[in-house]
Amino acid sequence: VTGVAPRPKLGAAIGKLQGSLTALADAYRMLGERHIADADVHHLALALAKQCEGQAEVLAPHRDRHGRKLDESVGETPRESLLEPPQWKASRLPAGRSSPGALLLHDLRGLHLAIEEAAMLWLIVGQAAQATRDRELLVLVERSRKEITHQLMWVTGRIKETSPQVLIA
Amino acid sequence: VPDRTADIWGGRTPFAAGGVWPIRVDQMLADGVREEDVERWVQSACVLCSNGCGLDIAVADGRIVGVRGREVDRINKGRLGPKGLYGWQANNAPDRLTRPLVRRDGELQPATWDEAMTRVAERSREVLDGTGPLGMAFYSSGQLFLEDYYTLAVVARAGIGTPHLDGNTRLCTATSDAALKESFGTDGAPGSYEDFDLCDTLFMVGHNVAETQTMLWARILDRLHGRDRPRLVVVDPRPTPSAGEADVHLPIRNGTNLMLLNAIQHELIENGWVDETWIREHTIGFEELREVVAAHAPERAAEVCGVSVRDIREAARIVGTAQRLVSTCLQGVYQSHQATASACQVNNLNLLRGMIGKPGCTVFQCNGQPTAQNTRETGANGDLSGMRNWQNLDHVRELAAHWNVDPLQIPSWAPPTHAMQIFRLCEEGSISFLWIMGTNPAVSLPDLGRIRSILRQERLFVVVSDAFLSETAALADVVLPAALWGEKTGTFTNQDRTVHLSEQAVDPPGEARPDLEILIDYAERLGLVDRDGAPLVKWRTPEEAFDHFRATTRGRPCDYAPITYERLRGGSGIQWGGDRLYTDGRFNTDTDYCEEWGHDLLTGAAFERKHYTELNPAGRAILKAAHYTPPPEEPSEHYPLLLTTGRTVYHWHTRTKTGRVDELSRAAPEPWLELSPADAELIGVDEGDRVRIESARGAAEMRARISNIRPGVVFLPFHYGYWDTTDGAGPDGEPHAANELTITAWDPVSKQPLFKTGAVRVERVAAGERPAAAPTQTASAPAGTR
Repeated sequence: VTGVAPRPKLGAAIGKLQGSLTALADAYRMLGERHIADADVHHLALALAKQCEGQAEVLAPHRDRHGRKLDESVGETPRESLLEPPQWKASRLPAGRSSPGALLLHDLRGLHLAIEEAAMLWLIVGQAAQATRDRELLVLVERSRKEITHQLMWVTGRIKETSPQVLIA
Repeated sequence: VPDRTADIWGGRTPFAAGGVWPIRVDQMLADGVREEDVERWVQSACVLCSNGCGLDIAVADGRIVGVRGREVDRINKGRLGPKGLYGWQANNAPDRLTRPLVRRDGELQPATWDEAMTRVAERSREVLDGTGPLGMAFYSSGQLFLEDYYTLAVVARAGIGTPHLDGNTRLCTATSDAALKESFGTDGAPGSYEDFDLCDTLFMVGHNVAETQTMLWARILDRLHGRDRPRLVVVDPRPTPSAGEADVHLPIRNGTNLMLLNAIQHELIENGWVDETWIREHTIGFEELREVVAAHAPERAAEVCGVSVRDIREAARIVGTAQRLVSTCLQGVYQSHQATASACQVNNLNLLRGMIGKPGCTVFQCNGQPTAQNTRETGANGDLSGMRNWQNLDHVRELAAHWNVDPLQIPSWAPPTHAMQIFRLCEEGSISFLWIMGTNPAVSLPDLGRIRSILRQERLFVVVSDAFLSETAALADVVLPAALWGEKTGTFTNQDRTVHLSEQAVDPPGEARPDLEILIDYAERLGLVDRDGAPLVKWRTPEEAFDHFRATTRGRPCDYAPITYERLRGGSGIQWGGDRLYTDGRFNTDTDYCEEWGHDLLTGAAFERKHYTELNPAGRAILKAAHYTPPPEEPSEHYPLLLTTGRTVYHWHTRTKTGRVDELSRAAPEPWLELSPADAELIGVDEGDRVRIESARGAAEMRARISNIRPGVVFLPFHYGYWDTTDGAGPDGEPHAANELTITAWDPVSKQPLFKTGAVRVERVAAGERPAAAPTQTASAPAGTR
């Protein structure tokens, strides 16, 4: 990649975005492993973890070009706090105790925030990519923002379906 | 009478493109019954596949004694397949359920209708007063009639107000429904069976038509053996009879449909085999599709799918140079990985070529079951009655006005709950009442160990209405004896929108009752009323139910208004919507007319009005695109083989009917495992040996059939459960059902379970003294014989 002068602050923002995507991938993986009995969540979460890692990976040359390394910006792993430690058996508990639906709803809410965070960082990087007329980065931004939007819509839809059953049934 | 289990498709009557398919009347009467003994011939149609062949039922002494194909019917012109010819005998089986059963002291014991229905109603009331409607679920069939489904939809949605209502059509046609909605705006087959008579090219993906719809295959065979033989491309990992007739057979690795279909589109675009003007005027989404398929070159597809680049190119050339293209798909797409995404690509092929809504040009998103289309139209599956959009408040209000209930009564806050999720909610305990009608989840759903444990829970009250004591009924709390086809009147619609009337020919046995009567009784006992306090269900007879439904469909794509019982009597079945839809190149995609606002094919996320309005299809078809992704479970060192499951020509669903018919049962008496000669040699298995097949879910044992299936892939028929074993409900230490092994996973859009990929290992258990008793003229033929 040539022709665009290094922008260290943009590099830092890309690093932060990568960190957020890695944290999001971890959150997906944790969700998937924790909710095996909810097969749709299980399979899709594992697939989306890979999608997030893929997004982080293709950002690497852009981050390097702008002169910051990943380890300078991964200090924060804000999403971990949203997900409590795995409770493997919880998703198979009988009703009337800690309902597996309630646990799922809780985890989906946490995931929603993690996706929102990544979506916002993609927006920030995207704005800078536009201002620097960085076509290659813009292609990534466009594709990834679409994927992240679909992730948000999916988790919102799953929460819509789940909440009445958890709160009322 | 010829043995039609040996002569599956009957004699050839070849015809050329544009000709009329000749009449051939097939008839079967019980032993000792002569034609002059038949007192009445009663009009009906076959309910043993989605073709819906018109037939007349022969009656003597108050019993069904035979059937005869209706020569006036547009679907079959008199012909019947083996299941149609022999299957009716199940009605006369000695072990029909004739009295209600209730569980007392752990045992199912005979009871009166009043006692059984009181239990059902009291338990419903208890759940409704406690948990409310979200504690109640209904799971029906692809075998009931339109009138039953419509009544069920009204009872569940408007009366009880639960989102938990689905049919076993979730396992067979959910993806057909989903793909039609994604591409064209609403459900409804665009074409007509006459398009098979007119086409010059047939492209069939995962559609073993010779076994699943025998009389459609007879029609196609007559074209293939006539003048102007159409070119035929078949995609299937098994050596099906249609693959045997094909110009190009692509035996792809199961689970890779999307990769192949994207590669074919890649070739169509590269070679300019697309109708650019038509695409510009009648579709949206071409640019994105072009971008996605660009990443799926034939070389990449050849590697992933395990077929040659040359064959992919040749298949694309045949599709690309067609003048009149008919594309079809069925379970090989719907029950496989990336189901809806792949089914949409089949639609895309015809859209790219501008070949839809014209004579000889269409796509068939085929159905599995005979009355599946009606679960979709009436809203007894995850749809809203009359092909309405559950996200569109105006549609919900319209329906509420028609039913005279508060719009808030109809659950529309989220998509209706699909079958797999209903069972999940039963598992976690938030659903405590489940009524299963005319279907057998204890054999047909994935991961049977799990399903049996769900149905056995004390806290779940299970009602089963059925004609036989199925594996599922054996686990129920209340069993209600239901009338079968021929014992009640109703209508149903086949996969080219042809509506047939099936009249009552005989009385149900003993105290068995039609499903419609059972549902009306239930609604009365629960006191379900409309907003004026009048009974919610305002009909008594099938014809009244039909007429009420007709009024619901006014102005919707499936407009039944012109179709009446009177018009259906005497002649051929009648198509709703006329012979072809979209003849003017205008699709049902207007924002306030369409049945849904679309989904992201990868995640299944539902788009909303704002997204759809922005897209602005406005009558144009939607070219949906998606990247190939690997399936959730791939072969590993421990489970090195790919499993696929499916049908054989002689059986239906879980054999509750066909297993009770001598001719059909003899033709395929026991389960078998198909594997290739190469894999057989590797494992050290000979034809007929007993083998054990194992997955991460469970294991099963049966005899091995060495066939010409793709190496690395093994096949199991899904029909065989345990009703005819000592246990009656489960394996009791000797598992042989295919679904002991299958994975719990489903398509993100259509929610159709995944039966066509999974990882397994196979071991030899013991030498066999005879070959496997597997069919020999079908995809299961022994290696080297076909």
